[in-house]
Amino acid sequence: MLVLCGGAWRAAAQSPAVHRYRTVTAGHVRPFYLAGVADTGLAVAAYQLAERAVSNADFLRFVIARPEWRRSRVARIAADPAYLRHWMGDTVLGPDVAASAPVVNVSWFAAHAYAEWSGARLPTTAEWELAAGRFRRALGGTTDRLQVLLLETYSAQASGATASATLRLTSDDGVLGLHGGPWEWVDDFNAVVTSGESRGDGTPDDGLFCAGGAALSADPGNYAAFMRYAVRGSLRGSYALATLGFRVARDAAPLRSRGKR
Amino acid sequence: MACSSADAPASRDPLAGRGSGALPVETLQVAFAPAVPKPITRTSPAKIVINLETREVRKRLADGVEYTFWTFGGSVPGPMLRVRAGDEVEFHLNNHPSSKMPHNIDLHAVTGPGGGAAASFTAPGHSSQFSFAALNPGLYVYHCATAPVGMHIANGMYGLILVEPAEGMPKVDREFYVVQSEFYTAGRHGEAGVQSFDMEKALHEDPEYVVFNGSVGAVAGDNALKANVGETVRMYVGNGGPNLVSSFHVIGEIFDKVYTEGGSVANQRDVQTTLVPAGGSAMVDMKLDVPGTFILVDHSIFRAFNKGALGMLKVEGGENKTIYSGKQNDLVYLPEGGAVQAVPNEASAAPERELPRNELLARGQQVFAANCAACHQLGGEGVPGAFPPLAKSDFLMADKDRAIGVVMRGLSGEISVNGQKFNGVMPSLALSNTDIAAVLSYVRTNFGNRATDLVSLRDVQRVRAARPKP
Repeated sequence: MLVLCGGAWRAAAQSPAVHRYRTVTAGHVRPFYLAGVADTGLAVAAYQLAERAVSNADFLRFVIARPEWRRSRVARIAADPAYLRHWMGDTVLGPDVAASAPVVNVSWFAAHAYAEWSGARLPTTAEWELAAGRFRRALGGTTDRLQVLLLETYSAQASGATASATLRLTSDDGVLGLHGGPWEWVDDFNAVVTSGESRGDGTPDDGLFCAGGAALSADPGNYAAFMRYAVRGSLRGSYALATLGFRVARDAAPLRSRGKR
Repeated sequence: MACSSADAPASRDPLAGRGSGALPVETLQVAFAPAVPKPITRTSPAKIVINLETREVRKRLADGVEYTFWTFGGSVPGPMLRVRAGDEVEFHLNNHPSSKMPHNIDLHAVTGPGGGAAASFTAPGHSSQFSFAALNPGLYVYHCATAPVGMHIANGMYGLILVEPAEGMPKVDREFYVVQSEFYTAGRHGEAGVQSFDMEKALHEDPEYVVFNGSVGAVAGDNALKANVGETVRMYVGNGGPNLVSSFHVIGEIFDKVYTEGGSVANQRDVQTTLVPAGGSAMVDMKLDVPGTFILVDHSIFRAFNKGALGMLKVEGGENKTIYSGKQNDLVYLPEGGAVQAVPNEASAAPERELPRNELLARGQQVFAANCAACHQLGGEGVPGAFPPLAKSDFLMADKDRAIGVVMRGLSGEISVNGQKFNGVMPSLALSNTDIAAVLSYVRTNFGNRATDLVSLRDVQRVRAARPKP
């Protein structure tokens, strides 16, 4: 429990939390909606992904350093009324919040601002899906059961029950908690534009970019992916969800690449 | 004054009676299964505001079995909605913040893309609003249509919306709301614990549970539907699927009227079992004439007895023995009566007449071979100590009438034949008089026997008539 109690402490809390990064090796990702993609899928360059999601404690440092992102002050356009509602106060977590647990109820704009403040960025959908599909070592050399385990995990989460222990395992690249915790923001969450009418998506002539429903999905049996894509499709940048957090990423090269996106 | 749509179907336009004023606004009172919202008494259109919450809840599927249901209103099926044809509906879909998934709604009563799905796609902790006009009367399914659609439906996101015709549904004494659906769990039927959705089984359309109103026993035992003798009952029956078609039947009752597939016309009468399509409905009316417990089933019967598709309607009131008497009698069933009946021994159909000599002897030879040779042997020599000889038999030749009597009635007791004692039993033979005459004529003129006269039919008839049958 952190308590705001003095100027000296405040100065020390202004520096961003240090995130440990893991290198996610390059690979190919078959995007869930296939329009305009080669059979081999999208090539994804190697990059670095934070080992863990951003925690309540990490995010607290951010809102202390950046008062415009505090709950009582944030612009409504940047974060909806659910923003940080599980915290006791603007800069007080409260006894019911675990400091080390992934922060939730943060909007995309807030996550984006945090990432910049930390000298990092958000992973793209392709980058995140690449990292999240690699559990060969954890599952004993095969990913056949990954889908079934994911469905079990997502079912358990919805009921509030503890997620299957299997999915708290480390990914092949050493990343923790990609599944079994909250959903995670990605930089281009709105690149997949679904109409919300999940049965009829996929008519290219309606002008939507990269739209594709069941008819165009790479793997209509991959319900876990359906669920993640459905979640992303339902979001707007200002949304703060109790079941949605984020983790940061950065390019493989230590330089900060790509200024504006 | 609302247009009546009853007598002019071609020009039926529920929006036609609207007028230029704003519609009165009502907030819908929903009802949770098996209850049905009260019939609409309003005779003109209104704007109905509906608030439906989607929530993911873990609760009982069967004894000892829990499942994480995705629900409308926290229950499976979702609440029953009731509006009137011509109403404008302002629909608010509220997705509880604790939900992991976005949800939406497709109401089959909506005419418009996705049935409202595109307009109601809602992230957790948010609310969507859209409006539609209830154009067609009938009983319609609503369900979530978020990808993966099969899973959202399979997890329990369905219910019914009744759009009453302008003149209202015909009045009945009691109305019930029953929805059949399946659940595809990783564990077998009855396996205890928290079960998760099994996609393989859903793909193969092989559910572990087929139930009414969202769990095993939801409409049975203490939760049975209740009514009284003499009442008319209507069941609003839905089928959330996601896969199976239901053969809906109430054991011991007949549907007096059926609105097939939930349409607006009571197009069938006197139906025993009606089909309820997956993603469809039916309305059935019945009058209760006798008391008892009437079982609701999907008549694909293994679903009823092994997977849970079983409900109850308990009817109380006076009996009517004319309509149903119950067991009236319980008797022993013996098809032949108390004793073993003997079939009467019919004599041979051969004509009774005096046969000419050669015919008589030829026949006698046949009869001997068929009836006598087995014991007396083919040569008539008999078996010492067992069967007396007929060859050169002094006993046989001594008395023609006695011989006829032996063949006719049998013989037991000690006799002496050719100096040998025999004490056995010769059975009577069911031979016709003609055959007795023939065989004795044959034996008495063969095997070393030298009869000078044959045995005639008249001889045999005389012997038969002389002594009464025992």
